[in-house]
Amino acid sequence: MAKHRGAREFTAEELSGVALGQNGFKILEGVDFICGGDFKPSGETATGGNTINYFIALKVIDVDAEVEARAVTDGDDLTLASGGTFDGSSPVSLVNGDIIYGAFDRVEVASSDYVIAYIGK
Amino acid sequence: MSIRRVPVANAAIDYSQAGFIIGITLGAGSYTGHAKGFDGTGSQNFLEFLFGVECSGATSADNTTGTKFFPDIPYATSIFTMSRNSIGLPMSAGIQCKNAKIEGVTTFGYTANQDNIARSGIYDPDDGTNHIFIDYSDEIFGRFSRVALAKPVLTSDRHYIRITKGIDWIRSCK
Repeated sequence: MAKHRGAREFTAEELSGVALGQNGFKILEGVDFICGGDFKPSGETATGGNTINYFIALKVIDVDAEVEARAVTDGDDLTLASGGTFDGSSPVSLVNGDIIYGAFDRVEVASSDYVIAYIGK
Repeated sequence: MSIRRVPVANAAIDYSQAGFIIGITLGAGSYTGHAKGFDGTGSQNFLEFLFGVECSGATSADNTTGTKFFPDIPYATSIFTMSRNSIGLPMSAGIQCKNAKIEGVTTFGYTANQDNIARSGIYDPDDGTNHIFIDYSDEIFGRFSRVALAKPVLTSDRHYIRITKGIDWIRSCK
């Protein structure tokens, strides 16, 4: 996993474009979605054979949601796990309408919860 | 396809400089579809907006109470909800959106993976259990070629949304 290099890791142009959904998105519900791009650790299988490298924003819709997400860079996981590392069983409770920005290559959403996962590249 | 080819300035979307449409459904209202709408002719429990090629040649002259055509706009870029109930309290609005495919970008599969705004992932506004409910004052961004606004269950309630227009079809081709 790569080290994050700060504010210039991703371009502002890229972030704003994707945050507005201009590059498409996935609706995630009751799934452990693993991106199939370059950041996927060896041995993992991409969900549905997708070619997405990472999601750049997660937006909770419809109802509140239990969400856990693995960042593509060290130490940025969205998780309540001790040590701050994605473990697949330590979701964060997010309120309907919340947006979490990042670059996440694995996102787990509880059943009957809905999240818009905006596609990065 | 790269994100750098996004044809609309993001600030323009944010501030609705591209224009917008207000959609309203009343719980006590009745909505009749057009033959080119999702449900065809007849009564329906939603108001549908069609953009660009989805209009299949229809224009605003063909509008009905349940189907509105915007052939000059290829897609909408955001849905902002501002519904209130009969006593003025904020409430969520049920919507469904069909995603506009981004032309020429299937090679890398980024946008080929995009979904519709719907619980099932399939645009089907005729199915009331398929609506996604968006909170008052929340906004959903994307590229939507069809937008459906559900009719409220209670006759005294009203659903309001603001749909932000995407690029101008004619000017974008020049």
